Amino acid sequence: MTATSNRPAPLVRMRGIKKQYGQVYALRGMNLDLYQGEVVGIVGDNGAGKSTLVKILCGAVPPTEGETLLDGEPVAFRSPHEARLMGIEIVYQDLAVIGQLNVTRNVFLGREETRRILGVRFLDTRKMEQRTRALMSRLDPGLEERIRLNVENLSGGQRQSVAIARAIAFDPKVMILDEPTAALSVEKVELLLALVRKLKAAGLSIILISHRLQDIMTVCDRVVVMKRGSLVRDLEVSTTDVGEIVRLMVTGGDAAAGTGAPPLHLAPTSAPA
Amino acid sequence: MATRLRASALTARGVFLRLRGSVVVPLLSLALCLAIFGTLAPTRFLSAANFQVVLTQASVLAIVGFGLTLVIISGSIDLSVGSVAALAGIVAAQVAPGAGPVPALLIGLGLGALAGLANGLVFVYLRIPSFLVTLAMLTTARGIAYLLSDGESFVVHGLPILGNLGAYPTVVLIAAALCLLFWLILNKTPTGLYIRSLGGSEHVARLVGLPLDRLKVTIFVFSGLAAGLGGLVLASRQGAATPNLGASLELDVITAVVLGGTPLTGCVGNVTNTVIGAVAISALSNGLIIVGFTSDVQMIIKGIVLVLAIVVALERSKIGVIK
Repeated sequence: MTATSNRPAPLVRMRGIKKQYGQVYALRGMNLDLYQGEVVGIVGDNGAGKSTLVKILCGAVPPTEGETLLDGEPVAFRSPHEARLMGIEIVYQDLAVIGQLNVTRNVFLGREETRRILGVRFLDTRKMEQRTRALMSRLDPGLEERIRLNVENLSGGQRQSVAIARAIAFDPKVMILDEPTAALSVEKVELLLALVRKLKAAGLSIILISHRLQDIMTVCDRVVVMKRGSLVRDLEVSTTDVGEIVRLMVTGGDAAAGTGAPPLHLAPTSAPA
Repeated sequence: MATRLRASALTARGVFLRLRGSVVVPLLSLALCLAIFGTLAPTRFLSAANFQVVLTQASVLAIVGFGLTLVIISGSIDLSVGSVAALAGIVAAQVAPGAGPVPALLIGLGLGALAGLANGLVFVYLRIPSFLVTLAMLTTARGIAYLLSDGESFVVHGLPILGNLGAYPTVVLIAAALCLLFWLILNKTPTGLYIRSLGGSEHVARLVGLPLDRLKVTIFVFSGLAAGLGGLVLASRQGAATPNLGASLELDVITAVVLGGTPLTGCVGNVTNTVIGAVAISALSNGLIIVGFTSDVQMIIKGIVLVLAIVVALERSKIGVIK
């Protein structure tokens, strides 16, 4: 965290986030800062609490304890919808698209363009299609002429483009990508990472959860290592390497400076599902 | 992609998949009905007067079916439509002589909406599957209809729905107007899109923050309103309201919706399909009567038709486990 102390106030600041499921702690006092225009990678073994942390940030799960500040203001989202209204978007690993609806419908789902006729709100499909085409020309030009196809007829990479288009359609502040490269071919991974850089250049702040450390090293400014629901280390990517990150993920930092995660014998034996 | 779709269309399975949800199947069923009964009873079945009978009967099925179409597209089911129709019809017939036609109609519609609201609230807030909630309403509303009417029949006075406008029975016009209204709601408004989204994936609909609880209640109110209107039409068409009005109507209506190409798996379908399904089922019922099948045989045949309709319409790939 010292690495970021000389910067302006963070866009997102999560402090002391705890999440308890019954007797199991998924998070035990986690901190996270995200600055404007920054790409932060979150890494950790299964059960480290990465997904729980971003689910709390995007409003899908309420924290048991802890505080989230957005632009310095405390926020407590009761639903993903509220988080989206405040400019926090997430692209889920399963993409959360509806296969039997077309590309445009999925991109605008829940935030349709409408126009009033005799006081009744009607869908403004033409306007939504124009905007979808414009989005796709930036994201995935192959989809530009396929916006009327149902998403179930698209490839995995194209579906991800639809999910990302939905996330960036309304100029969010923060975009969370949960394991975005897990289901992609090598070639598509390169395209996705290029896109992340482009969005970062446009000022978007991005959180990237990934098991693929080479992806993290390629596009992230900082990497946050988690283990058993706690922060192990918050590192500038330029000052570390894959070897150190792996060592921190495995040891929880004990072998290094003895900071970060609580002693392992205090951790619950069962990891959250 | 286009080539892949075209290639798959050449296989039997591809043809089957492409037919599902289209109007081809209900139109073929209708044509088959017309051909069979037209051959067996050409003069009686294929007369202008009989077509009007079929269309009038189809209008009732369609009116109730439009509401049910929304319910089914949202991924739920409403089994209570026949009983709700009876409740609306019999109460309207009872109050019409004293209160006048317009208040009677409004009371009937109001009762339909109320029954739908009860269905929706129990479904959403007690978290009970819709087929069980509406199965309970099926017996509850029917019971209330018997209770309020004391088991009596009421001659319908002063319900203006039955009359003719020129050469057309008003029922057909009401059905046409309602079809347009429900088509606009389903295909052109956010509400309709959310109904499809709910049927497509409730999980995703929740994640993107659609107002699902309110939406579900609204859907069942629509269905209750449509069933209520159907009951008013039935009562005035028959000239009398009996507490067993619309008995097993739900079966005919579900068959009409599913045969029309709105599968029970949700998201897909349309009210225009339901129109064709309703005409096909009415032609079938009418033809069976004209050809001289007794009501027991009619029931058996309708049961088989429902199964066949579901075989064509159901998307097994979306279900995974069938239980």
